Amino acid sequence: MTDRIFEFVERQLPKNNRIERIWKIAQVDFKRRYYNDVLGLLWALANPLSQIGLYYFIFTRIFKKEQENYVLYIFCGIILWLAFAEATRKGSLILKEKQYLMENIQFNWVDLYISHMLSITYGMIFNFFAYAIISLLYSNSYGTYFYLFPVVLLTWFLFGLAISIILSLLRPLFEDSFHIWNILLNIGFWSSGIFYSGSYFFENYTWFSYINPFVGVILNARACLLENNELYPFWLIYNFLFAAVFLVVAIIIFKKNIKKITEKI
Amino acid sequence: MEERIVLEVKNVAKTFYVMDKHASMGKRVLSLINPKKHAQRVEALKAVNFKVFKGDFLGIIGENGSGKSTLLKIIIGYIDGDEGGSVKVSGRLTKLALGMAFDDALTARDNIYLNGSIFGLTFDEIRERFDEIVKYAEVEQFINTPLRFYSSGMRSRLALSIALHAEADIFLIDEFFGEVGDIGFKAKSNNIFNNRIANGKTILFVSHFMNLIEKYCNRLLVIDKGNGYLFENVQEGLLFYKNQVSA
Repeated sequence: MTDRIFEFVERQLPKNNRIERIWKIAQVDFKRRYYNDVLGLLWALANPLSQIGLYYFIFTRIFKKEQENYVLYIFCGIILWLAFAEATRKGSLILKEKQYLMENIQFNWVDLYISHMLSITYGMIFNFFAYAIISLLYSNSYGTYFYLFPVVLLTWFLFGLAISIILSLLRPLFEDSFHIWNILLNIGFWSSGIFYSGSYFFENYTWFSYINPFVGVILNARACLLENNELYPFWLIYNFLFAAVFLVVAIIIFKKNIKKITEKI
Repeated sequence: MEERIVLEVKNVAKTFYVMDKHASMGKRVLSLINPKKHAQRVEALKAVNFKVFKGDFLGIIGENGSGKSTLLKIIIGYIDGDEGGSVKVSGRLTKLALGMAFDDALTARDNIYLNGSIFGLTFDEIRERFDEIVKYAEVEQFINTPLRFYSSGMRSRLALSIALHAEADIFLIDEFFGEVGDIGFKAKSNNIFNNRIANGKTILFVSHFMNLIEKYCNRLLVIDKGNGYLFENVQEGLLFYKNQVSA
C-alpha cells in the first residue's frame, strides 16, 4: 500500500535529479526504519498510541482531568512532539551517517536534512491518518481552521530542519550536546502544552512562548484539527517567521562551518 | 583532444591539527578553541598544482599516506584546503565508489533507483537503463529480493553495473574495480568500461596498479610526501615514482 503511494507521488515529481534524489533518500530512510519488522509500519503508530493511552489514563483517571475529547487533545500535541524529538535526535547524526555520500558525490548537503525531515514527516502523516480514524470514532468534526494546518506543519518542518542542522554541527565536536538536547526535549515535552492549554504561557510567561514555538504550534494545531479550539493568529505568523529565520541562520552557520566539522568526523 | 580546462588545482595544501584523545580535559578544550597552538600539526599536502583538460585520463599514484585521499577529499569538496589554494571544477564531479549507498534491507530495484539518483540519473533515465543494469549484473531473477539475500558476487556485479551507468562530467575512480566476477564478467566489465566511461569522459584515476595506469592514462600525477609532480608522459612519471619508492 505504502509502496503504491510512494510510486504515485514519485510519478508526480518534476523531472529533476536533485528533487528526485531528496525524495528517494527520504523514502529509503523511511522504509529502512520499518520494513525489516514483522509489523512494519504499525510500529510507527505503536509508540504514540501507547504513550497516549498511558497519559490518557493518568490524566483522566488519576488526576481527574475533564476535557472534551481529551484523547484527541493529547493526540494532536503528542504526534507533533514525538516526531520533532525523533527528527532532532536522529538529525544530530546525519553528518556521520551520510558521510559516505558527502565524501563521494558533489551536491548541496542541506538536501540530506530535507530528506531526513521528509522521512520523519511520512511517519507523522501516517500517525495523522490514525488520528483521523480515531477522530471519526469520537464523532469529532475538524476545527474551523483546518485549512491553516499546512502552515502549522510547515512551521514544524522548518523548525525541525533548523534544529537538526545545528545539532548535527555540534555533535561531532561535542558529543555531550546530545545529552543536553535530551534534557531540553524532556523540559519541552512537559512545557509545550501537550496535556494542557499552552495559553497559560501566553498569559503568564509570554517570553517562554517566544523562545519555544511549540507552545503556539500545538495550540494552533488543535484549532485546525479539533472542534471548539481557539486559533492564535499572532502566534501562527510569529512561529512561522521564527522557524523560517532560524532556518536561514542555521544554514548560514552550516555553510560557514561545515568543512571544519567534516575534518573532525 | 579539446584543451578546455575542467579542473584546476592551484597551490592546494592541507595541514591537519590533530587533538590528542588522551590529553587532559583542559588541553582538549584548548585544542578546540585554538587548534593551531594546542593540537598536533600534520602536513598532509604541500602546494599541489595541476590542470585537467576535458577528455583527460589523469592517473594519480602515490604510496599509502602520501596525501592522495586528502587531495581527493579537497577536490570533491568534502574538506577545504589551507588558505591560499583553490580548486576550480567545471561541471559535475562524481566519485565512482561501488555500492556506496547500498542498503541490505531494500530490494535490488530500490537500490538501483537510490544509487542511480545519487549518481546523477533522473528516474526517467534509470527507467531507460534499468533492464540493461539488471541484465549486465545478471540478477534478473532476483530484482525484487532484498540485498541481504544476495551473494557477495551478486552484490559486486550489481554495484559495478550501476556505477558503469553513472552520469557526470568528471569521474573520480579510486582503485577501480574491474576485478569483480569471473573471467567472462571481467571481460564484459572492461568492455563496458572502455565504451561508456573511458571513452571521451574526463577521469581522475587513483591506483596502485601501474599496469592499469599505463593502459588507460594519458597524464600522471605522482604524490610523494604531500608534494605533487605532474608528468605529461606517463612512462616518465612511473619511472619517477619507482625511484621515489625505492629511495
